[in-house]
Amino acid sequence: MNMSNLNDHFPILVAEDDPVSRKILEKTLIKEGHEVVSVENGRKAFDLFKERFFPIILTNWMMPEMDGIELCRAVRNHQASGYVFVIILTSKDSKDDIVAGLNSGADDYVHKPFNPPELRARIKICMRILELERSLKQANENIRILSITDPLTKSYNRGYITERLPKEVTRAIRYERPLSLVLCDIDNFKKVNDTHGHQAGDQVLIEFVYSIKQFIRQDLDCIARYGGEEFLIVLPETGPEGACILAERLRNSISKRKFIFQEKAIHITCSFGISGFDSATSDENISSESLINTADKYLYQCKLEGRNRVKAGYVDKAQSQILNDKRLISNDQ
Amino acid sequence: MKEVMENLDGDKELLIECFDEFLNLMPQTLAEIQSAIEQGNASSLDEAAHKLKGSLKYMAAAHAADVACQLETMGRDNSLGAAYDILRNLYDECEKVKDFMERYKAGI
Repeated sequence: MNMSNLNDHFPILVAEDDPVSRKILEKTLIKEGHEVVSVENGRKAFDLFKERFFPIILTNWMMPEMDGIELCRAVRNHQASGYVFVIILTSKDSKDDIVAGLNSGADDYVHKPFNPPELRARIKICMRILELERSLKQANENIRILSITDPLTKSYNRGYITERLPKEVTRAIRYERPLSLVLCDIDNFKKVNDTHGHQAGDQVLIEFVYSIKQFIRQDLDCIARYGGEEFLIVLPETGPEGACILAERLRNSISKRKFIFQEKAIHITCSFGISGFDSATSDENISSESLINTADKYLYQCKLEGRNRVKAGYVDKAQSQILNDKRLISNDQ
Repeated sequence: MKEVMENLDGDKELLIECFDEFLNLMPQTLAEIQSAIEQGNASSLDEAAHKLKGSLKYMAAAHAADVACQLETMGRDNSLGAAYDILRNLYDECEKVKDFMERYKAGI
């Protein structure tokens, strides 16, 4: 990234009460390609900063209403979305003044009247530091994503869903909303690996997740790899009846799909165990564990009854009976 | 002029803009300084004189900036005894700066 591109990313907030100095600052910085917003005192600067994040603040020290030192302290005490590099402009040049300015949280100071080449050089220093912060944040974000992602299928991993599920459960209980889990397992997946090889098996898993993602709500639902060929789908705002409809669509789609690997078509089927609750479910029956255990129980029943099917129930046994009576459970092969 | 142009990165257009800003600012700031002295308001004198001093320094008007600095110090020290004399001196120096700027602009 060259410096002119960098300038676009670092708008500068200038707080300066002297109109002559303010004009020179504006023009010097704009000529360098920076976006500059200037105001005439620290109070206005801080009010603006609260509405819009500026990674660089250039502030005069002595100003009416709120001086540069107060502005600096206010900025440091404010929860900003990133680091703010503050440069104080001052005609004060005693060591004590400089120390006081830096102790207030300023990163650097420039003497007034400032020398334009010196100011540009100091702004470049602060952009290098801010760019370093940005790249560290990006690296942290990449690591965070890696830590919650299954490397093969790019779905969430078990660690992520183990953390997220209790939060979803808590939220659903608090707001008396429905929530369902779908535990799905590819039937006889070992045969795919044994017949076509592990690369084919991996490809099937990748495409399987991709297929499921086409059916679930991108911003609300989530799918995680729970085991080898076992996946957990969390469906907020969805009761077990709704989850059954979704799972039946998934089952139908997967069973008809051809997974192509090295020009060979691979057919698979999948079994779905569903659990869930709604506002009528007794809170004492609801937990992440009860949801997973119930879904696992229904998945096991699918396997016992011949696979390629959907079985569902509420975590509350009394409600499960109602669900079964509605014949929402699919039994076709 | 060499020092001013260094402060402005050699930008003649900016020089004229700064002259205009200064010429607009000067009467108002001098009035603020005079009012502060008349009312014995040391902190207002400090603030107004400081602001004028800053502008004068950018314009490399060293002598006028020194006079403004004297008033700033008086304000900061809350010692306004000889402030009227210094204020007259400041008016004279600022008038010289104003003349220079107007002549420069007229000569462009």
